[in-house]
Amino acid sequence: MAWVNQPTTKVILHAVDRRGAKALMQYHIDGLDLDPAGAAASALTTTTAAMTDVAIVATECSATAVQDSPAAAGSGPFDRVADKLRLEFQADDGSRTTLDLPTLQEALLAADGINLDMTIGATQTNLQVLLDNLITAEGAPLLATTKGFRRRSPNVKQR
Amino acid sequence: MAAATRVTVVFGDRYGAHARIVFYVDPAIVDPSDAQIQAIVTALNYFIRATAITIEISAVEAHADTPGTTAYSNVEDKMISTFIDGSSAPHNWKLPGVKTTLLNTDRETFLSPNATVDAWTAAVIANAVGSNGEPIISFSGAHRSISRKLNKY
Repeated sequence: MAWVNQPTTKVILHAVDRRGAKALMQYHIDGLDLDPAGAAASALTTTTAAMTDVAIVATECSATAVQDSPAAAGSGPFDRVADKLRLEFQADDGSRTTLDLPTLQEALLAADGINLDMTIGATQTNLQVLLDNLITAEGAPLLATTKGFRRRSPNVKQR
Repeated sequence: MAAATRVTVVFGDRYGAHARIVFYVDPAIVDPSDAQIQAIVTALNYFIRATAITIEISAVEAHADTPGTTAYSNVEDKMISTFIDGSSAPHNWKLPGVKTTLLNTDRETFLSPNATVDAWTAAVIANAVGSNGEPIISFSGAHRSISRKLNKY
C-alpha cells in the first residue's frame, strides 16, 4: 500500500464576468508545483487574463496522490458513508470548526451509542494527532476537541 | 502564500459509495504524500471503517481584478482553441469572455499575428502539458463560440 503522486499539477483559474457568473479554466503543468505564484502558474494566469474580459479572481494549484492498493473497507452497524462521526474543535482565534467522518466505528461510542467515548486512550491519542496537525482555513491552530457524536446526514438518501 | 493548504481525502465504504473529508494544514505542506498528511489520514482511519482512496491538496491565491463590459465579455462567449501534444493528440481550451480587440472583422476568427494571442499560445506551449503529462508542442487554431443552451444575443 503506497501513495503515488499523479504526474501533473492542475492550475485552475477562477473567473467571474460582469454579471457575477462564474467560470473555470483548467491547465495541467508538469510535476509537483503547488505555488500559485510560481513561474508556470503565473505565466498562464497573466497571459490568459490578457486574452479575456472576465476577471481572473483566483489561481488554484492542485495535486493528487492515489492509493495504489487500498485496504478493504470494514463492516459494522454504521458502515455506510451516510453514518457520520462529527468532531467539533475549538480554534485559538475563538472560532469553532467541525469534521464529519464517514462510517464510524461503533466500538468507539459511549454506552449511550451516540457520543464518542473520550476516556479511551487510543481515541485521546488520535484526537491529539488531529489537534497537532490541523488548522482552520484562516490558519488558526486547533486547541481542543469539544464534542464527538454520531449523526446521520438528513440530505443523504436512506438505503 | 495562502493561510492554509486545503486537503481533500476521498474515502470509500464497502458498498462503493464515496465521501470526502476536507481539512486544512500548514501552507508549507505542498506534497500530497507528505508525512504529516499521512499521519492525519492514519488518525482518521482509527475512527472509521471506510478506506482512503485519493488525497488532493490545493493552494489558492486571490487576485484583484475587474471584469470588462465589451460585446463578448460574458462567460458564455468562448474562445475555443486547439493545441497538439507530443503524441499528436489534440487538447482544447475554452477561454470565457474573449476580448473583441483580438477578433478579425468577421468576429469569428482571431487576429494573427497578434502580440497578445502569441504570448498566450507561447505560455501554454512552454508551461502546460496534457492530463497524461505529454508536453504541448504546437497551436493548431482558435475560433469564437457561444454556449448553445443559452439565448443568443
